[in-house]
Amino acid sequence: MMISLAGSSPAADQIRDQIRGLIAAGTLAAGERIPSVRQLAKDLGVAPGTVAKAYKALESEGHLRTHTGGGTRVSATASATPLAVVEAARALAATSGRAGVDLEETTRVLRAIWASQEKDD
Amino acid sequence: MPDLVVVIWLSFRSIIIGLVLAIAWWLARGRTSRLPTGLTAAVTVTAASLALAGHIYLNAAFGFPVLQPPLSEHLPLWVFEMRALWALAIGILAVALVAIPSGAHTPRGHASLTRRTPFSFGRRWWFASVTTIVGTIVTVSVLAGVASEPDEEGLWRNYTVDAGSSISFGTRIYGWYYSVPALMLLAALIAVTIVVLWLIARPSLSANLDDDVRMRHLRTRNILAIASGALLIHLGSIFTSLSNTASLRGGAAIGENGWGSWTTPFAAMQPALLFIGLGIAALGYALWFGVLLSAAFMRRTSPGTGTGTGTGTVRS
Repeated sequence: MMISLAGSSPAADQIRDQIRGLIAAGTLAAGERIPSVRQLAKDLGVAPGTVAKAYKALESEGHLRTHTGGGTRVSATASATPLAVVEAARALAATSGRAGVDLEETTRVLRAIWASQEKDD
Repeated sequence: MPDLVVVIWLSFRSIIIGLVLAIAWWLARGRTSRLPTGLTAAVTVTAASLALAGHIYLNAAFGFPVLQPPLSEHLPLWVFEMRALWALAIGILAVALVAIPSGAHTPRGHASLTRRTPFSFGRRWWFASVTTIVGTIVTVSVLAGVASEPDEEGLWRNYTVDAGSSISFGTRIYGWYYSVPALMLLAALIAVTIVVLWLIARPSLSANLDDDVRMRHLRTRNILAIASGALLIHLGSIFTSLSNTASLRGGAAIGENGWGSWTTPFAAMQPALLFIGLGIAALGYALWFGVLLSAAFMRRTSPGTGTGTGTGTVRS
C-alpha cells in the first residue's frame, strides 16, 4: 500500500488522488488509520504543509476524519470494505507468502472454503 | 568435588535451566528467525553477551566471595544487598545498546500508507506479555512493601511475626527499601524500551520493503525479549526473596516446661514461592540466551532472499 510522487502536478494533489484511489479500490478500509502528517511528509521528502493540505481536502470530501489525539482515519462511509476483512486478507496474503503458496492457489482455496460455508448455511 | 557441584548448581540453577530451554527453543524453532549478518547482529550479540556475563558474574561473586572485585568495603555490600535490581539495571543498558544502528533512509518520493508506531513491528501478545509481567511485579512489590516495617536503621525491609507476650521474630522482606528503587528502574526500563522501539519504527521504510520490515520485526522481538528477560529475572528474585522470608521459624519457652514455635502466615507457600521464583528467573535467562543464539548464528543473505518469521506487514 504505497503512494509515489512523480510527474509535474502538485505533490498535494498527487497525495490526495492516490489516497482517494486506494479508498475507492477498497485497499484502505473504513476506519483504518493512516500515517500522521509528519510521518508521511518525512517519508515522501515533502513539507508537512503539503501532506496537511491533501489530508484537509480529503477530509472536506468526507474520505477522512481526524480526531484530536486519535490520528487520521478513513471515514466509515468512505470505503465499502470493512477493516476486519482487509486485515484478514492481508494476514492471508502474508501467510500464503511465507508458506510459498501463490495468489492463484490461495484464491482457489478461498473459493473452495467460501463455497463449502455457503453450502453449510 | 561433589560439594562444589552442588554449590554451583544451587548458585546457577536458573541460569542452567534457562540455557537448556533456550537451546531447546533454538533447535525446535529458533533457526528460522536468525538475524542476517551485519552490524545489527553484532550489536545484539554484544548486548546479550554483556547482559548474561554481567549477571552471571554478579551471581558468581555473590556465591563465591573470592570473585568479588577489590572495591571499597561499602560498595560491594550495597551492590550485593540490592541484587534484586541487577537484572533491571543490566536490562536497561542492554536495551539501550540494541538501539544501534539507528539510521534513517533517504526519502525516495514514495511511502507506505501504514502508520508506524513503537508497537507496529511487534505482535500484540508480545506487548500483552510484557504488560502482564510488569503488572505482576508492581502487585507483588506493593504487597511486600505493605507487609514491611522499618528496621532499627529506619529502612523498610523488616518483617516481624508477633508471638504475643512481648515475643516477636523478625527477618528481612522485599520491602519499600528494595522495591522503590526497583520500581524506579522498572519505569526507566519501560521508557528506554519504548524509545528504542520508536527509534526502530520511525525511519521511513527502505526500497527493499519486505527485508526492512522483517529486520524491524526481528529487532522489536529481540528488544522485547531482552526487556522481558530482565523483568522475569527481577520477578524471580522477588519470589525467591519472599520464599526466604516465608521460611522464618521462631521458638520460645512458654511457662516452665512448655515450648512454642511460630512461623509466618504464608509459611506454607515457601516451597511454591521458591519454585515459582526459580522457574520465572529461568524463563528470563532463556529469553536472554535465546536472543544471543538468534544473533550469534547469523544467516548469510543475498539481496531480496531473506527468510525469517517476519510477517512482511506493518501493524497500524
